[in-house]
Amino acid sequence: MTAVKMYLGGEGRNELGSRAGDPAYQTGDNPGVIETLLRRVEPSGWEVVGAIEWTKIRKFQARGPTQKEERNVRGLVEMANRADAAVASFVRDADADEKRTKTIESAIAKSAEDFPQVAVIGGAAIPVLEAWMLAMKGVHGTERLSKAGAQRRLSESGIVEKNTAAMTDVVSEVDLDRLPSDAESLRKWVARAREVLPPMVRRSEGDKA
Amino acid sequence: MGEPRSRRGRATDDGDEWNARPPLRNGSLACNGASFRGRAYSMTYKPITTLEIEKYGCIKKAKFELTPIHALIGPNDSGKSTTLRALRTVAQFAAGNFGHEPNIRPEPFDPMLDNVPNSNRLKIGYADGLGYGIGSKNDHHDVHETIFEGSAEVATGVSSRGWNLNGIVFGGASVQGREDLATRLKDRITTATLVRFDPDCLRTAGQLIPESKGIRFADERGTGLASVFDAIINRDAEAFALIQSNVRSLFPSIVKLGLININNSQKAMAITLTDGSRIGATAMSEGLLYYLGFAALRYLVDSKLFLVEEPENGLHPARIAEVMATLREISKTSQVIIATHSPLVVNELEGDEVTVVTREVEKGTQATLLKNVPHYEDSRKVYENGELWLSYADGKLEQPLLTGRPRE
Repeated sequence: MTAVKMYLGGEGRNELGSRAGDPAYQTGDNPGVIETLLRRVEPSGWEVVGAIEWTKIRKFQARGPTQKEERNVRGLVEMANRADAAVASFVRDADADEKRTKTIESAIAKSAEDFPQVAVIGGAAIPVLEAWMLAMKGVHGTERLSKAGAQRRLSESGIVEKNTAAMTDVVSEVDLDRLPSDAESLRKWVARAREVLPPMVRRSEGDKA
Repeated sequence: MGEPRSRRGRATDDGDEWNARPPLRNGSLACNGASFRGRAYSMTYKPITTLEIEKYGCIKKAKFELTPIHALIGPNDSGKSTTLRALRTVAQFAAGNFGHEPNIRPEPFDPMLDNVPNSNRLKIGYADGLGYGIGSKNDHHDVHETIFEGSAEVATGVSSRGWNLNGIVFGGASVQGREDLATRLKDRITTATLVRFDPDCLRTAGQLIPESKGIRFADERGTGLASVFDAIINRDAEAFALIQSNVRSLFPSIVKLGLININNSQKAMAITLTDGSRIGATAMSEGLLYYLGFAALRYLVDSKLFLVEEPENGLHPARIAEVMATLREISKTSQVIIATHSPLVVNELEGDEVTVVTREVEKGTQATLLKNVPHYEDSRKVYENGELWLSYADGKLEQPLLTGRPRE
């Protein structure tokens, strides 16, 4: 079977696991939250062919102001295309920046025009990835938390900061059909993953058959 | 001092000579911005469109496709500067003035052509198929010249090396009936000017340029910048005013650009700041000196080929775009070939105006147009050309860029 090729982008080890850091030192040994979440949506039939940390995506521009987040998203998709990946997937913390979420959505739309051959499963975690963890643990109202509040609440629940393994354990155990209704950014991300990945894997399997 | 020269500047009481300032033009700078990204090039000059190099310096065999303004990029030690030298050699030889640059030790011919004893060759070509090549054979005393129409050799000749090169010279029989081709070539080829500006040289006062002589720097490092400006002031006051206007716009603390008399035969650059203080060349910023050097290029004598090494040196990133706009303006009437390590320079160029130069031990120097690298069209949706280069260059063989693979 020809596996669907996936390219990942994220802020660091929590999102990317052992695929964080310089490409020369990346391994597939310990998946991060993004890969684990995608495995929950579609356990097999796809493979990660590359990954990059958010800050390492090239985004300087000599002429004119361009939204940094737009450059990040479009740069990630360009890299995915270069890696012959069919899917680019990422999570970016929204932090307290409301504009960031809209910019990212706009960039995803632009990327769909520029690179129709690369599907994007991505979006901003409101307010941060830790809030998604809380939502997966059944906590309501997570998108109203501050960044620090979400991190503190997660720590109080027993998952200390930067404990990627504990985070992926949460993802592995969650029932994705019973996410809190107000965890909108997470639900939207999962919905997009379900819309994109399973059909793509089925098509790939069909091509092979 | 040698020949007399006219003086249209005014001498002030303190001995400074400043240009009589004509009214400044309103509006944007003459060399400003995107309007020069078009291709409205002069019909009176023919830029070289191909360069073939064989066994010259570090280059075994390579072919370059050139444009009116063109940049060579790539790792250190890949052959970029050698390519510029090759262009200078073939153009200078054809123009018949190799070794005649002032203050440069005259040489009978480019010693690089002596490194390989047999069949080294430099060939330039034009869009209409006309071409000109030189090469040394195993006798080291002659240079074999050839005129091409397409790939066909239509005339050949031999020039003896020495002090009296007369440019394109062909044996009587071989060019018979095709003198028109030699004439066409002579019309196209003039002095090639190589510039590798050095701020210390740009600061150095040079001998004034007599009225009867063409405007030029004393050497490729920019020695004699003040003399060049003195000549510009005296011959084209409006041009000087335009340069001064540009300088004021780009360097807001400067109100006036001028010259200081050193003695009867030498002057130095000087500026007046907004607070009235006057700064001599020794204290002028490197960025300003570089800018003035490039601004002066278009007024140099009769050069249809400028070879520019690293125009980004010493310049603020925002100034690089201005210098590139100046070079693009120059490229409307004279070809400009650049060797650079700056993605900001490359950002100002199109994909067919940039060649990636790499060198492997076995293959030697390879030239690849940026527009021909894999995924170019897709990547350009996201990146400017310089960003694309920076994103996928590895500084060795530029493999991620040239193979289309992700960075490793």
